[in-house]
Amino acid sequence: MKSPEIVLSLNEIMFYFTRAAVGAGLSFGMAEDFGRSSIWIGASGLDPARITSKTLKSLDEAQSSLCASQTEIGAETVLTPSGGKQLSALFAGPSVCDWILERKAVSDKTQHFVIEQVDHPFLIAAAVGALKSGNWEICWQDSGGTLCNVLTGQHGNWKTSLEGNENFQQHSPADVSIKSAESSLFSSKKWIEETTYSEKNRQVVLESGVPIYEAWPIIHKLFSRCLVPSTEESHKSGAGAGLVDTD
Amino acid sequence: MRTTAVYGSGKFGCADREKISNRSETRGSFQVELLTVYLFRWFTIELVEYVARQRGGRKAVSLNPEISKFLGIGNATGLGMAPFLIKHPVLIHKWVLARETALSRVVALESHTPESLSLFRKFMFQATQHIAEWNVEDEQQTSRIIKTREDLKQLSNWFANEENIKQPLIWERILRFAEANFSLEGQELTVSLLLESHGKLVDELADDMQTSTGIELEPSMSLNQLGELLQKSFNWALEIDFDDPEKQRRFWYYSEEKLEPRFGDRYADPGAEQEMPLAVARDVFLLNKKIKSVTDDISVGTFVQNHPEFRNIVRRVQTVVRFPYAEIRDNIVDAEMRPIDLLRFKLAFFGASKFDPKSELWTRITLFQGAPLPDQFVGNDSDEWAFPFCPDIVAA
Repeated sequence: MKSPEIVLSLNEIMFYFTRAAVGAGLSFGMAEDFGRSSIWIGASGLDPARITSKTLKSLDEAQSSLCASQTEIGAETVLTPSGGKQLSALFAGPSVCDWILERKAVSDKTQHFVIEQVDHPFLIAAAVGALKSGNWEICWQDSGGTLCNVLTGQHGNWKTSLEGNENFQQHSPADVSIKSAESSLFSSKKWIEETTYSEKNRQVVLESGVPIYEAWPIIHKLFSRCLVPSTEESHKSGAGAGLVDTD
Repeated sequence: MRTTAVYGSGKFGCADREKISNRSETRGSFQVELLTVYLFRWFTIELVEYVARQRGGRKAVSLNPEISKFLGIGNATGLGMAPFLIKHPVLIHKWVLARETALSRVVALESHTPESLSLFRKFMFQATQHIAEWNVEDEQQTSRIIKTREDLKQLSNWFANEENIKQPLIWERILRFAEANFSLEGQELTVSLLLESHGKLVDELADDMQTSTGIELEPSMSLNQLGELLQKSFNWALEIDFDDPEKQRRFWYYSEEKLEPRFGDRYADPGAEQEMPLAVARDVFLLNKKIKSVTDDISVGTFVQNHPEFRNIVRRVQTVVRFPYAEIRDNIVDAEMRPIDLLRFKLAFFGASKFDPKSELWTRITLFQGAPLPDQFVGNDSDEWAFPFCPDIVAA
């Protein structure tokens, strides 16, 4: 089996992935939300670099947009990308989380949210999962026409119809629907057979860290854009340390 | 023994804090880290004894326990602490709240006991000795230490006056006397003396010097409400004129070298585009300007969707308004900003002593000097080790 490029703690995932998103062009506030999503992915035992790197690249290369308009028609709120591009999940994820919190504030479970042409649907599920705000069902059709679902539950548990790394990584635009789900759905017949990710995954990760594989250089390259090259002058004038290593 | 860099939880192979934060014995912030420092100190002393035995054989003598106890562990601390203070506002609130609550408990005591007077005298004596031994190269700190010595002398004279001691509310009167007559360092030292001499009354507050509260956005809040929060809780930031370039001359950044936080001059150094989002006062100032330019009373959720560059500061404002001690109420990018003051603030909560600034950006300190070693936790006075001073055996 291939060795990981690096093993990261959850704290390091927050640090590197947040700044990688800033390096790709996201505002710091949204990048922090992306950092939380990446932790959620890593804490589930999945490789967040492998899953998110294409989305970051897509933003960096201006293939995905950070502009959208939101409209509310009856029970449906729709987020539509502007400018004829696919919508970046890094923008749509925080938007749907804000919508969930607004609905929660008025105890409204009747509405549902639709994001049109989002570049990486699974990252919407990651954003909702990281929010830890109860039961939500996230659905989309992949490029082959297969219906994909993620169901978030209590205490960070979640289920999905997706199997294998490739499905989590699938980066092709789709319309994503997000709706509130009853907690009983988690143990219902429809979901009983699906793969479950539980808090146990997180405990394993806290013990051993998150192995990051071949996509790490992409994350690190984007992250590095947030760093300032060191010079002798900047070390002298701006470093909080002495001139010798023993300080 | 000295430690060099001490990295945060989850960095460079360290475990995430989450791994231990639910265990009652390790819940306190930095409890495990400081226990580790304490164990290093113990190990060092054991190592000295071991080497002596190996090299000296029968001629080797053990360290006098009083000398062992006086040995602290050195540390040099730099800019990494400053971003920590900004990034953990709720935790900082909890620390300061514990300290303020402790002080309020002590000064509210109407009467005092012979024991509490005796303990205060003991700590005052120890502090006088301790500060007499505190000598640094830094001129500014030296003048502060000299003034603190004078303050302590005044306090001692005040305390020697029987009339002062007979009256009720002695602790509050001591605090007021310090506020009216002492330097800032003298006042802070007086607060420490008051707290140290009332351990039974205040020690349990330490259990609450931790938090799991995160910084969360409240998108359903109206923009008008957010504007009102700014006026109410961030007037200290809104009073700063950030149109003056000197008010944001400095910036904080991560260097490529060891991902080390550094402090730059925006108008002279490269890298301002990579500035860390730590300038809370300036960001609040800009947010306020933007809010004023929006005519409709939209929700915060809609506002941050239209202006994602404010998402970070909005989230912070909405969270910290519930925690009055959360913010460093100053401009940390001002041309006159001295990061060393932030460092000292944090180090004080660690119980660091012998603060020895080497520039405006880093300092040397001592930890656990005077703390009992594991076999010295006996007797009623084993926790009365604050303000250690050189044992007579060394001085002789």
